[in-house]
Amino acid sequence: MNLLVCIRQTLDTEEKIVIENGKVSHADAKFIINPYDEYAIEEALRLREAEGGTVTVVTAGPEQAESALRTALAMGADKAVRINTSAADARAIAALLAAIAKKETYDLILGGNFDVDTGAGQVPIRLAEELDMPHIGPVTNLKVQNGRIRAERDAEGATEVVTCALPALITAQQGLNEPRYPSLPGIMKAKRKPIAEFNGDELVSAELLADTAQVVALFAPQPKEPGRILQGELDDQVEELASILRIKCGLS
Amino acid sequence: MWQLLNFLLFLLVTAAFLLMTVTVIFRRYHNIKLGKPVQFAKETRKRINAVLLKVFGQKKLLKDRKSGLMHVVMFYGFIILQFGALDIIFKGLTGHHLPYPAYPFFQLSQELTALLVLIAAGYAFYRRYIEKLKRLKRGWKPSLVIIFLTSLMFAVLFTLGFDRLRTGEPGSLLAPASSLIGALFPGMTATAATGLYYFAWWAHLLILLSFALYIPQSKHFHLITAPVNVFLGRTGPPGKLQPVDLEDEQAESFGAGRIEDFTQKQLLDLYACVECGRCTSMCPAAATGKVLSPMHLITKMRDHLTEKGAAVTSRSPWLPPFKEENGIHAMQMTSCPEGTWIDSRVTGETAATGFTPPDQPLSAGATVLPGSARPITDIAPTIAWHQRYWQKDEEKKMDTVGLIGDVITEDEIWACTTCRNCEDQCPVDNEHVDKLLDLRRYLVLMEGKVPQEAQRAMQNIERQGNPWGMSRNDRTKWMDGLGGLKVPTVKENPDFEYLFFVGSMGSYDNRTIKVTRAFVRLLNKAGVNFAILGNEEKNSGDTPRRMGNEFLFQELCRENIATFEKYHVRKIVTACPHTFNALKNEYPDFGLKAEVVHHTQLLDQLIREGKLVPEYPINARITYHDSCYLGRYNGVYDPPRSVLKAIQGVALVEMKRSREKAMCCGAGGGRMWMEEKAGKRVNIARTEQALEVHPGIISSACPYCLTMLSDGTKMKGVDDHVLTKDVAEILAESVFGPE
Repeated sequence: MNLLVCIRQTLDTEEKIVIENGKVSHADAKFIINPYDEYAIEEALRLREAEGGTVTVVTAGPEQAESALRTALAMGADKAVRINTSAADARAIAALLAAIAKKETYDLILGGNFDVDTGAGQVPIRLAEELDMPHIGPVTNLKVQNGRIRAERDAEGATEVVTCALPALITAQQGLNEPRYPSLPGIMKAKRKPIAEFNGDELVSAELLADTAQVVALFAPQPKEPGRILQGELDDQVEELASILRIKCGLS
Repeated sequence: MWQLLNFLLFLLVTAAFLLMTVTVIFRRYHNIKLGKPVQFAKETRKRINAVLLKVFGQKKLLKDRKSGLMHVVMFYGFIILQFGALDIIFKGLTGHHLPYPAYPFFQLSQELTALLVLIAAGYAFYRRYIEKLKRLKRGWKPSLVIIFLTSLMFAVLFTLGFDRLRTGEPGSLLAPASSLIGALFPGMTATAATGLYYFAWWAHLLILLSFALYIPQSKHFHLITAPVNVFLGRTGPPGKLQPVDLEDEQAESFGAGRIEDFTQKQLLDLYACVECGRCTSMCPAAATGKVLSPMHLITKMRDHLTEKGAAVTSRSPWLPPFKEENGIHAMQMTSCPEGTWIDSRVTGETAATGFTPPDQPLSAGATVLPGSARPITDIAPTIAWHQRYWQKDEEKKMDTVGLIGDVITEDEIWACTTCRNCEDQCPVDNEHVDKLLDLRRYLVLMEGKVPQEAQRAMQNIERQGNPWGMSRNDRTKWMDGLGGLKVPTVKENPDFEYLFFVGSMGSYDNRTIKVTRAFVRLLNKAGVNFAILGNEEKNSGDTPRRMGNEFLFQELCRENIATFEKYHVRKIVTACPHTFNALKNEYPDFGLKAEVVHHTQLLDQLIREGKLVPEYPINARITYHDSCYLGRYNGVYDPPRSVLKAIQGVALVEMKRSREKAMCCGAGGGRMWMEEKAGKRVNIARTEQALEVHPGIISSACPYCLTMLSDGTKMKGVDDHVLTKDVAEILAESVFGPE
């Protein structure tokens, strides 16, 4: 099977977000592969182990995103592609990924359900659209049989079972698998594997790369007030709780 | 004529037996050579001392007083009787005894020794088959040695007795046993006596030679290997792991994935094991229904090595070849996540509310709650599990049997808390922990196979320098609750004397933060000039290292050392025994030159110097739980106790298992970060052991132990009247008074 995994580098979820001059400061921050994309990588590796084939990982981002590709290679991916771009719009990224996807025939394309930093989840779906390919997401269980896939998808508390013919695109949901820990030989080998590079503006037109969305304001959430445990007689506690609800939450 | 014939026959038989004996020894020696060569530290004096103490002094054997005494008799008896055996053989061949000085007294020594050995053999039988110690295997095989010894002793005495009859030598008080045997056959003719003498003489010779041939082919090989093993044992800090050279381009593999990946010394360990089971009887994993049993770890790998050696050389390790050997040993059950206890739900809450104990009788090492028949620990189910599933498999071939999986299962490998109680007990100085670590290293470094929670912890350490993955910029957040007290960083106080290495637990764990705060208050009060690294501090790397991730450990170690050097750190104090051990014993391999002390050592010193005065009495019954990494790894048993004893009103009570024998809390070796689903929780067992002595406070000096024991008291539902505290917290209460 020829598998393509689209990944993105994000800030470590535990990293302290500092806003400087209206932007998230990335200085000295730790970056990781978006955890949902990690599930996608793991699933691709498992499919390759079962069915044979190659796993290619692709990302669109600055040079620093290369370390995400190295990690994916260390986990066992065969090839890596980086699209050099500063574009951030889902439309632009999907167009760029489509340009790469069209260079070869892929049986299955995998991506994450959404990005943990921006909360955005349009890219894989737009990509499927660009490639005129069916997509299933968010997937919690995946099987391949006779050129078809059978996927279980999260449907708001229920599980839907969907089958479709290949080629197709799926997005990975938590629970799909547990990503592996890169082995030392994997890490060593990954250091030597080449990473193919393309310039974003050579792949698609400048018009497509332009931002369609604008950030109007960026601010950190208010720090949460510490919780309180009400004390005293039960009746007093109820009274106090009621008054808090009235005053603080505007219930009356 | 008869003498010549006898002599020739003797030569033939002896030569044949000795040749076979040498052959089987050599084949095992060849097996050991399959391992990687080792460089031994040239510390001959230390090594000789170890042999004097542990071989001739039998120091570790006497940790079990009863079995130890029996062994002392056997050990010295065996040596003494060798002289007698030579004498008997010589006399049978030549008609004269050897020219030993004071011969009658020599005879007396022989006969008394033979009688003592007989008594010891009888006691061995009693221990194994009547007292039924759980750590000892039963069945016919272990009884062979008792049969050998008993019959050998009778052969000695009867040879001497018939010799007396044959020569008409009168009975003597200096030869009581042989005189008595002589007196049993009054009026026997000289010819009959001569015939019986030669019969007994040949019986003696044949038993002796068969025993010699049996020794290397059985666990009794330890007669030869154990002294060598003790001599070649480690001379540095116990439990210190060997660094892996990760830069080695030639290395095909790291850790141990095949038996040949171990060092020759590690393989020698396997043949030194005599299956006494003392390791397993002390093992917190085996005692709580995990599948790991340190004795079986060794014996299974020994069987595997012998079979692999035979496959490599296509020569049988067994002589005489009585039967065609079919199949090879392999575990018939390779996964057992629920553990070996019959009632496998004996985890967490059910242990608190009560459960039905397994049907087996209590093991001798098991401790029992007062007024209850419920065992706190029991090794029997785990031993039974191994006996049931370690079998010859006719289907298997050598190349399809994997060391990991078929010989040692992954459940066993991850069950170890690296507490070293097994190594502390082992009379032949085997090292179990580094073998398990090499297996872990292979799994982690080569295959990326790690329990999920462990992987998460390592990933978090990689990214944020702490096992929870909390922001590395929050490392100093614990200082928020200090009130007016100022804790300087190395930048603010560059002329500090002590660097206080707070550690991940001390920085982030809500319970341990209280210990950290108590400790800095004490440091401040005592006027110690100290500083902390602040957010530049990283996890010490002990957790990843004990989980087998040498790669991550070395990275953290080098980064921390670079930080230490940047701020000219000369002395380090830490409240975590794991950090303490890593910095003190393992960082020097990577270039750290600093004096490292544990906070209890420093506090003890400050009290003795009068810089800390425990003014306020604390009227409490306190038991102290020894941390493995403080105690068995570093021999720090007394400082924490001295601190407690310096406080007025404290009644210090010792648990049955304390100091060297102290049972682990269950959190070492990275187990802190892994789930414990099999059998009973170790921390509950340890808490129960503490509760046996009715303490008001269970004290400890390790953040992991503190967590495990406070969880234990909560699960037992006794946390309202049994408190769990760090020694520093108790001292702070006495120095500053109740809050």
